[in-house]
Amino acid sequence: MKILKFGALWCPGCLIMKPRWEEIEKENTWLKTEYYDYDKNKEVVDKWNIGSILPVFIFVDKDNDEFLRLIGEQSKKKLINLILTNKDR
Amino acid sequence: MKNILKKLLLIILFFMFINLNVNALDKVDVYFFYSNGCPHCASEKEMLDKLVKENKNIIIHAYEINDKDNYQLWIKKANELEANISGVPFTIIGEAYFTGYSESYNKNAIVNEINKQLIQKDNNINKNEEDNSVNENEEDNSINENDENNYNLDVPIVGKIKTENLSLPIIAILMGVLDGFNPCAMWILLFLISILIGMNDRKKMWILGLTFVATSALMYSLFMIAWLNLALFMGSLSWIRILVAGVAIIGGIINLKSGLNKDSGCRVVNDKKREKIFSRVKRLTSEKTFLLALGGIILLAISVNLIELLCSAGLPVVFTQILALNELSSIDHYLYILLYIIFFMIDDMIVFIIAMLTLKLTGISTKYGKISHLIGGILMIIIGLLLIFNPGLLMFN
Repeated sequence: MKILKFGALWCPGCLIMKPRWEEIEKENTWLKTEYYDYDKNKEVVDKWNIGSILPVFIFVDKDNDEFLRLIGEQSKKKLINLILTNKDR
Repeated sequence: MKNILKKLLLIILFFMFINLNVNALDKVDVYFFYSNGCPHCASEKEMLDKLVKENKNIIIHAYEINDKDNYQLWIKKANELEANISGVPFTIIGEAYFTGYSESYNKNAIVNEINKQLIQKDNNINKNEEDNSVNENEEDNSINENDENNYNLDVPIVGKIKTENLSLPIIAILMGVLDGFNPCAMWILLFLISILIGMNDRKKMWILGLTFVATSALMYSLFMIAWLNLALFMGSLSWIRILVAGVAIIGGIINLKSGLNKDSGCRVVNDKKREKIFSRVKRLTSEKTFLLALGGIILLAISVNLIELLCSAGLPVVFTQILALNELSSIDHYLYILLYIIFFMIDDMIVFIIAMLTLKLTGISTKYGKISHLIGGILMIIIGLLLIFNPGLLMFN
């Protein structure tokens, strides 16, 4: 499993999520994540059909297929639950 | 778009400057001394209440003369006018007084005197305002004890505070804070800060950032002043009040909807506009001539805030309408707007100062934005309904 994170410099919700993700990744060093900036990585943004609300977190499996998409601010507890539930996908 | 911006700026400037020296139609004070059980008093009271409903510039000060203090006041006022007190009702309008009342006897005379005073005050606003403010202060001092609507709070050290004087500041602060959580122009500020953080010159960082924030505050203030002057200029036209009530109710519903929406993220602004603004910000912050950079930031703040005004048009319009309904001097109007703006800018200032001190961008959780939308939505709907059905409840003084 891998998580694709989409955000922007100017998005308050994305800024709030940054330290949250840092904590999660520190506690789960096995977790793979990639960050894409809405303005700088247009091709990736278009490829994954990121809509008009940020941040967006896309959970992809081993075959790089999306199985879950979260939009907007998320609590650390909810993210950890989802990550641990889908760890082996 | 540029044409629309120019027209919007001209309209704001027009209403800001054209009415700076024009005050609201001044109020006419009618002192009405009556006795409970007096049928002619009851008739006149009914007539005066009807007049007030038709024209909010008429203020009735009613005193029941069986109260000792009210009786003393009646004597005092009659002596000032060298009038013979032969009974109630006794009505004073300016220098004129009327003893007794009936429709056939003196209703027209009373109504004509009130209208005459209204016109006189309209024609001689500045002079009358000086005289009246002196007279009203003297009379306010003498009748404060007797005014049934006065409530006082004893606050240690500070002393006595009239509760009616607390309502408007509280509303200004509450609405300013709620409006401040509206993220309309926040995305531009965040982008600007992200660029400023990368600069080596800390002094330049602070100056450019503070200039952007201050100019944003100024633009918002100008808009509110312009809207306030428009509301005062229109006087007590009920359709303006109803229009603002409509804005409040619709704005309130939109805010409630936004607050109840499960999505808690940032809405992406139009791509082309965003890219244009971002490239402008980058160009300005890398400008070698500091004054040019400063000038550019000011213009950027003006144009961005003009565009974003519509995004948060509800709360400031509603607040300025409440100000217009209350009997305030020009200075008081501007001070309340300043109070609103200070609290409106608090979240921007917090984000900016933290970023400048820590060199890290922090955001304010969208959870607070949602809460403010919910509270703001409910507040706007309530105010909208009050503006339609009972605007008197919004007249705190």
